Amino acid sequence: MRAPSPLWAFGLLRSELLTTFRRWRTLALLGVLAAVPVLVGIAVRIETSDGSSVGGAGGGGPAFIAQISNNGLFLVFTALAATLPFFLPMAVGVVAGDAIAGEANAGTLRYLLVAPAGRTRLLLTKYTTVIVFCLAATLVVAASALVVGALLFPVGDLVTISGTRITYGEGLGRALLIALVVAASLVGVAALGLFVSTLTSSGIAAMATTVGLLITVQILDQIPQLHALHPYFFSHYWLSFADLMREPVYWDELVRNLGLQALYAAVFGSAAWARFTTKDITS
Amino acid sequence: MAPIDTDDSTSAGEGEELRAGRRRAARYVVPVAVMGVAAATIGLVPALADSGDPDLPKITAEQLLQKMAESDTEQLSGTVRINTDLGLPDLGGLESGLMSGMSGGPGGADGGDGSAADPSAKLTELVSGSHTLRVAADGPDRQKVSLIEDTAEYSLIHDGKDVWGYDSKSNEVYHSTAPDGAERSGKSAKDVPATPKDFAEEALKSVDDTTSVTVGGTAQVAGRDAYRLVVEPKQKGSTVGAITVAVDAETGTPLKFTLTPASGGAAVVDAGFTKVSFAKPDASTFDFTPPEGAKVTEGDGAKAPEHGRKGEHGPGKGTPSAPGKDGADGAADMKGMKVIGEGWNSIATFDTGAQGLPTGAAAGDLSGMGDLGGFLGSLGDQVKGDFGSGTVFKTRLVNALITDDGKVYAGAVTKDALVKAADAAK
Amino acid sequence: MAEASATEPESRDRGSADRGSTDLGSADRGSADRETAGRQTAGPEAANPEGAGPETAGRERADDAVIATRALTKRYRGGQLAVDGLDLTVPAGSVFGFLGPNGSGKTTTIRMLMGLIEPTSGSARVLGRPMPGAARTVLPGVGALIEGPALYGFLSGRDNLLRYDAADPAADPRTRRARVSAALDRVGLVAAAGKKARAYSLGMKQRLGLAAALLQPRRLLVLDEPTNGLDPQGMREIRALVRELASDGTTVFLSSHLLDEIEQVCTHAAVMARGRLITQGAVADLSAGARGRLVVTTPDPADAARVLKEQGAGDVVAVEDRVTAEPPDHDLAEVNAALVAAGVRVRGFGLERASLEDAFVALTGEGFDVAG
Repeated sequence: MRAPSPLWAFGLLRSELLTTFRRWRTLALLGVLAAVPVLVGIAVRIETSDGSSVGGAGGGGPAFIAQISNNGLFLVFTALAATLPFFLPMAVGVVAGDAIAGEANAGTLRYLLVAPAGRTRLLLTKYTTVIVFCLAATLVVAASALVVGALLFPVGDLVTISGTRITYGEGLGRALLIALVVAASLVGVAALGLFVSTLTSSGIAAMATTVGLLITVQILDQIPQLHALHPYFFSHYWLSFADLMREPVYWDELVRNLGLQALYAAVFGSAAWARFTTKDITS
Repeated sequence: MAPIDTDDSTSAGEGEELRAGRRRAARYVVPVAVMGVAAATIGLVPALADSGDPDLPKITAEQLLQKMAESDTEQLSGTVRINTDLGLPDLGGLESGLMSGMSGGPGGADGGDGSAADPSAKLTELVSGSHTLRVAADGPDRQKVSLIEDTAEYSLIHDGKDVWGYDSKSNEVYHSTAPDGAERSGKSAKDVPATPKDFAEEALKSVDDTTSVTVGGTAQVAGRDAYRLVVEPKQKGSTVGAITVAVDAETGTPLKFTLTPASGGAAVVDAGFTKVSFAKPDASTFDFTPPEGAKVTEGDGAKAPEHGRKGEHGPGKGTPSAPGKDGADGAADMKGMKVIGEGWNSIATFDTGAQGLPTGAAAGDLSGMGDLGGFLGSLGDQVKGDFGSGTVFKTRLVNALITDDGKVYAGAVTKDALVKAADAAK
Repeated sequence: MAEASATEPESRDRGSADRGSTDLGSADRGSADRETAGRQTAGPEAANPEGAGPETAGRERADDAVIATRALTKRYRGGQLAVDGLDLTVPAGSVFGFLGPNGSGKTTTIRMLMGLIEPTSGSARVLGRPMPGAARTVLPGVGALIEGPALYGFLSGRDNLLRYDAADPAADPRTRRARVSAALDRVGLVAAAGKKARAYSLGMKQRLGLAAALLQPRRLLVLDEPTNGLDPQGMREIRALVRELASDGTTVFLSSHLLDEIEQVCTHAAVMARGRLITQGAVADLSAGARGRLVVTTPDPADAARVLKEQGAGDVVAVEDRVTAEPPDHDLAEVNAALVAAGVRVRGFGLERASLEDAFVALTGEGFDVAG
């Protein structure tokens, strides 16, 4: 019997992170996400090249889009608002859905467990990795938008949506805070995807189910008759990140969003644990 | 592969199979328990936090009114939640068109040339649904009201001579200079009865012999102890059940305004602070310079006072604040407008001059109602009486009778009262 | 595997240390006694999973069975009984052949032993500890190849091993690279270590899987069909490796549906069919169980058959110049003398040893499905 290393948990986590971020699929997802701000930026640039504003007087389009042409930093917020409803959670759903089911599909799960990775430890490692991916994906969008915004549009002091003025430095700070909140908004989807991933041995099925659930919830969130249920949908408060751009910051929905994400993480995380630690591994 | 190293699986036996199954099921207790705790927290914490009505010294209605009158609160900031349930049919997309039609009448700044940042365009949004406002005030010269929208905000800022409207969604700015008159009270510059105080003042203007005013116990509003001032119509026939104003016990500032209909059910208007602070707001709150590239629409300075006042009454009527003499007086200068009855049972009447349903172009404060009628034509009730026949359009608060010969009777009264008024006018 | 001798010295040393702790111990110990010893061992160690102290090793010495199952049963959710009341004992230091046709429950048994599947009832102890309860302390001492190798196609061979090594909480991260290099060396994959695993041939994948099982010095090696997909040269290398490991004192649990494979390398064997254990024991005993046949080669088969019957041999079969029979109880030399005395021209006289296949056929009454 050898003594377990005190760093046992981190060895597997490091390996998991390396494995995840070396996959071509992960890089492709991040690449698509990085492309979104580029497209939005170029589109806004073209549309406003004649001096007109975007989205018409009605202020259509994703949040903050009208301000981009005046301050490139707003591209960060617009890009996050544009990717949060679908692109970001879809990417997270793919990575989370594949986390356990993909290993089961490839048969590598049995070798990890015999190694022995330990089921609880493996699940924690997987969830941590998915959350790191949430953060990485959000930061990729934000960083890409920041660069594209600075290249295509003027930068400088900006006006919050409450009409007050803040410096570019503080704006950058808020952009980082918003990116963190957006990443935290994906924690619920990540737990849901992980749970689905423990239910099946097919990575594709788990990914499809997670993304399907995501779309279903988004649709249900639009149905007025289900009004009473809306506050419990993980996507309901997603756009509350914009409240960080108010002055003073309006915390109510932000806090509700983070609480809801924590609840999803606890419920589906523990459900995934209950399922995975009692599951027969036959693949 | 249980994560816990246990040796208990060594004793084989008949119970083994059962035990394994039970251990398996036991794991699922965890997520279920988490959900249970969450549900209990969501359900119980607000109930526990509601520490009951505060214990305050007894006070008479007169004392409370005096307290309100003496209130010198000039600095406050907070969040206001407004729920309006007029009982209008859900019109979905039509609603916005309808609302802009209404605002086009009395409050429209420059006809159809609407800026998204024009205050009057935004005010009407408050007529229905649930809204969150943030208010800040620092004396009579500096106020700010912000309507919180999804990922956007509409701010109306009064800073000395300037009144700014900023719509972050479209990045448009509306600017006008504050009229001199605006400086006598913060309210008129704000243009909108947004704070509970504004609502309360509207309501209290109607206090006379037709009205009973009592103190209805105490309540907690936004974490502060408050008295509840209950205003009820004495007359029969009004659709207004009661108006309750929660008044801060310390400062005398109204914190919450609730209008319940006589027909019962949810409040028609429920506006109250969810957070309030009487500290001086940060000076930067009232600073505004239009962002680069924002489209700025200039309000006409000379006309501004008039617009301001009409804008004030327009939504005041639309959002059914107490329809009292004040409202009636305001309305009386409209062309052909007459007021029948008094107090709560006042009925406004005017002749559109047209046959049947008036169009939205009808002048006057009630064009909004007429406009509404145009949309709701199929939804009205046909009534007959000595006056002839007509159509009654009902909301939970304001009812309107439009006779076939083009007369309009409207007020916060029941259908029967409208018919009676029409008959009497004949 | 030709380079197998060039192993990392450290791991070799630890291998022999492990052998010291497992080789000793009496095989006569009753199972109830062993049960008690196991409990005593597991008690303090469960509380202290790092318990690698000499005291613990001394206690484990008493527990001779590396794998011991009692009434191990698995019924899948569909109601299918995959393993039915299995009582399996694998002695320490043995090369144990686990034999049975495809679908006989071998893999389900192995998965239960490895803690991948929870038994419906019954118990299993591996290295003296209950499974799946003590998986975290037991499995670092076990190398396994289950149902073929499974690899990350997008990682190189070396990175695959690094990942599996990282999954073992008992593996020291500081010596990880050295361990992986040694394992690659041992299975002869050093040259291909940088290639993506999806480009590997089946044989190379199998070797990489073996390398993963050999990352640490193991007390028990579980190899499920290790020669599947290998060419004859690869099979020979695997057998050589198994023998080498066994000579180091590692217990090898080898499942196969290939009889000759078992016969060539195993000291002990168990036979499964349709979820039940047919028999188990030393390979020599199993073969002896099916008695050999007396074979007489002669141009006078009819006379030979008559004489053999007179001498008390049963089941006499004469085919051309070959007469076979169940050998009689008395000395075969007298039988031969009687044949010669009766004028039978004897060209050959001998006892044909029974094969494991004979034993299997005798036990199950059916042929062995070698197709899979």
